Amino acid sequence: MPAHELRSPIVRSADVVIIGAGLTGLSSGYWLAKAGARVVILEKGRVAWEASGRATGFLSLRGEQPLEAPLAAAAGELWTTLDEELGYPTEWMPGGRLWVALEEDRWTELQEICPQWQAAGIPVQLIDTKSAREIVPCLSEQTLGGLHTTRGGHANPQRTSQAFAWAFRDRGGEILENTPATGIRVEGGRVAAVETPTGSIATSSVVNCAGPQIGLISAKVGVCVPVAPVRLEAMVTAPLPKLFDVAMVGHGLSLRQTRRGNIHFNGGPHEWIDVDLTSEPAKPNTPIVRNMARRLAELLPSIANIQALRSWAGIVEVTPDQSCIIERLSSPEGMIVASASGHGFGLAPSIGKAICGLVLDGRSPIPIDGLGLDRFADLDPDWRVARRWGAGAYNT
Amino acid sequence: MASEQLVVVGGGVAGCSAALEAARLGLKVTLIDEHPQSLQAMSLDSPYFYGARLAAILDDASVISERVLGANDLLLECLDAGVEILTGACCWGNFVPGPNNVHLKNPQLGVADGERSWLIDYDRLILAPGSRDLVLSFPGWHLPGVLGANGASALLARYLAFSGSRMVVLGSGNIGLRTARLAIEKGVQVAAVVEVASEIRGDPALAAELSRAGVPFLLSHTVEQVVGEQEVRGIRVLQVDSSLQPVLSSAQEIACDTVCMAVGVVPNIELASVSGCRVAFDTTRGGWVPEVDEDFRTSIPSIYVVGDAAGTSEKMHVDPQIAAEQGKHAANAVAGRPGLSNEVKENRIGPSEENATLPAARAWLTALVAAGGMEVVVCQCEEVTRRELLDVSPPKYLGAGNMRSCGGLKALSLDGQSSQDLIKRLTRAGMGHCQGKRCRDQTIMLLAEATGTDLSRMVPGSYRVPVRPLPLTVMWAGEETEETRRTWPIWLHPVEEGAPGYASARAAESDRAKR
Ligand SMILES: Cc1cc2nc3c(=O)[nH]c(=O)nc-3n(C[C@H](O)[C@H](O)[C@H](O)COP(=O)(O)OP(=O)(O)OC[C@H]3O[C@@H](n4cnc5c(N)ncnc54)[C@H](O)[C@@H]3O)c2cc1C
Repeated sequence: MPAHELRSPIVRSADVVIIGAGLTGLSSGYWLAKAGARVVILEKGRVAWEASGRATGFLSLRGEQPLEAPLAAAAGELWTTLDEELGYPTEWMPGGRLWVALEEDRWTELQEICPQWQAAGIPVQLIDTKSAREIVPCLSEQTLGGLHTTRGGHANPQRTSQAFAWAFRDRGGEILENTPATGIRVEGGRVAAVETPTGSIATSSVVNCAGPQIGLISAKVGVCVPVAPVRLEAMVTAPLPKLFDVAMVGHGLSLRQTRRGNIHFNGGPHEWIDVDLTSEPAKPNTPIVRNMARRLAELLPSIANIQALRSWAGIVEVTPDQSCIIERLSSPEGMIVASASGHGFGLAPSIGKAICGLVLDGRSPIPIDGLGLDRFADLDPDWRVARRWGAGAYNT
Repeated sequence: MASEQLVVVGGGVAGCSAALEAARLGLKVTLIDEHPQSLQAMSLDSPYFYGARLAAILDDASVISERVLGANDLLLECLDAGVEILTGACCWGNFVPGPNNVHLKNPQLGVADGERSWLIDYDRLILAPGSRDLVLSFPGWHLPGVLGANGASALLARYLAFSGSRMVVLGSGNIGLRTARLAIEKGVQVAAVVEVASEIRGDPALAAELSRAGVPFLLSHTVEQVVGEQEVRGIRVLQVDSSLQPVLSSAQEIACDTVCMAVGVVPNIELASVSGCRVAFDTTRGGWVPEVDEDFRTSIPSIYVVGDAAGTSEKMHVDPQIAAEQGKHAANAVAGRPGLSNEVKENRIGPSEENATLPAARAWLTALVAAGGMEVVVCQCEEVTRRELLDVSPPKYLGAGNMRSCGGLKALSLDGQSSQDLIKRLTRAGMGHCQGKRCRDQTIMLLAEATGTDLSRMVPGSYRVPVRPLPLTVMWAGEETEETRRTWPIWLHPVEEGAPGYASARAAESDRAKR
């Protein structure tokens, strides 16, 4: 049972073939299987081994983008009963979200953002140092203030991914690990099959949610999905007694306290990279973990003596305007593309629902207007370089 | 090559021999050793299984420092030879430029003492971090007084701060026999050597020496439980039959205050692994080890691994000369000399000699499970039992007991079942403050057994930086530059005017304004 050997797909046809067993693919697969579709998920490596098992677990980090507000709102609803829906725990913690500022310019930014988010219908409010430190008692005294919402919270990304995978399996879905999609066969303008090194699977619907590889797969059928992959670093401390429920952003980190008590955090300088279609990208940590440790200690000074236990890195893909891409293409007919643009953890339940609708009914039950590819029609082909997001660029 | 900076990690025989030879060959050498460790570091059972009964004297840094350094003649020789020596400093990471890390311009080693961490540049690195204890569990293994052979040896011979007086040793391979002899030398009574196999596994001469000293050997025996409430008061052992099943009527209790787990030690590969060196399973070298060529060079050309960290053998446990030769050889290779190749090759653990540790540990585990059952804790930090591990149960604190069971290991794909990382993430076994040092080996053996997978085909859990649990205030970048502070990104930067994607971002904003 060698882990890295390719196995020939047992399945030779399916209603829907999903490429990528990250959260986007697993959630899509779950809703589709629940609706009765025969679904196969192809995964080049292992389930949730990439970004989806490495995320911090902050819900709807950027759902404040107006284009994504309906998806964020729908996800918020779905999360409240997700454990029961799937039958497995996700470690969901509806503790709200808090953005704090330790520096003047950050504080000014929060004060500017607040009315904008309120205008977008997000129930946030500015709070002073004292209130912020009531929500997070170990927060630095240097905190100037914060932006708080009781909406959202956090959960455990690995557990959530696995919950979707098990619930998908329970409804008859099939996941093929170590089975990369290497091509898509199009006949008469329609998707006909997905190719793998061990044979092809006939299907009329394919969902390309291969994360950083989404563009490489789309390019096989002449569709440009502009994304730039980037490597991020994350860390976790030893467990602490329960300190706070809220999911937090501050001092250049995004963090949460897990149900076990560990502080799980990510942030900091990042390197833009290239990936290839079938291999596992390297995900090294760098000396920047020392600066991350320092940031956390400065943000939460009273727990600064806790041990850092582990660090890791993960890769996300980012779109030019940093919003999701979700579209059912007209050419080839039968292909759907979905990228969460680096903030797909919290949105996963609703993105999957949207995709399920696009596959089965040709339309999403949740408004996704404006998330299509046409917004990039005039994009300069060298946009990554122009943006300083080309492979090798650092911290831009 | 003489102007190159060589860093050697590990002040044991292999590391000191490498440093000494390199200095003699004119290289600029720095040697880093984490001993003497602080009491706080030792209490996290890192890197050895020291157990929960650490003597108060270990808190006296100056006394301990004198003892530990005084006990290391080779280190003092290195000092005389001009090697720069950093003691009491652990190496917790190694960052190597490479794919998806091109920003880093040169390799850097992460080092920390009790107060701060810093980065060291190097041209060549010789890793000699030795081995760690292979730990298996039985009822009562959490009690103060239970420890591992490496932990016991360090406390007995180097820290001179052993707090027991009557020890039972589990395991009769050379590690067990060596530890028993050391204990006797240091005035600790050895009440018994317990061995699950039907014969003594280690060197007959050494075993005879122990017998002459009055040490009883209990062969074909396993542990039922350690007895005691606050700490070890004794151990109950059971005879096992030829299929390693306990004979219940055979129980006997041996009075002791210390139980030393000496079933085996495994190569300490964490630094090689986090550096990105290729690691492979090799039965002749005791499990997962970095791949090395005849010069002990890893898949990363600037990094060498020598001593126990490159692979252990029964012979090496009683003959330090082998590790010493390996160290010297690597130093010569670094200096660009053909060196001692012929002699060393012979001394190296040839593929002809099967490493005995893993088969022995497997027999032990079979007998321990048969005697102790499935409710025994595997992971002390996260309190995960054998059953919870194999059921892939969510951790107790989630209170998910009323939810659907996933169906155990069978619920995972074949790749999932062989992935220690996946099962660790789901059950949390190995996620705690000892960083998996006390449960890693038992966990993967249990998983292999339960899924009928050969150990060599399992995918062991990854090692992560920092490879020692480090307080944030120690690990942190004390020297952080103004530049790093100023350019620390707030994920992600807003889309700038004129940038590609700006138009669609603007459209989103006006959309917002309309509502
Ligand atoms: C450190 C870190 C912290 C994060 N924190 C948060 C957070 O707090 N909140 C939040 O919302 N988001 C967060 N994210 C982002 C989030 O993890 C991702 O946006 C989300 O997991 C994306 O899921 P996905 O399924 O689209 O992509 P992925 O998880 O990347 O999955 C894509 C899958 O496709 C597979 N694949 C690729 N090519 C092929 C092929 N040819 N054939 C078959 N399979 C293929 C890959 O192996 C992979 O498993 C974080 C990410 C990281 C790395």
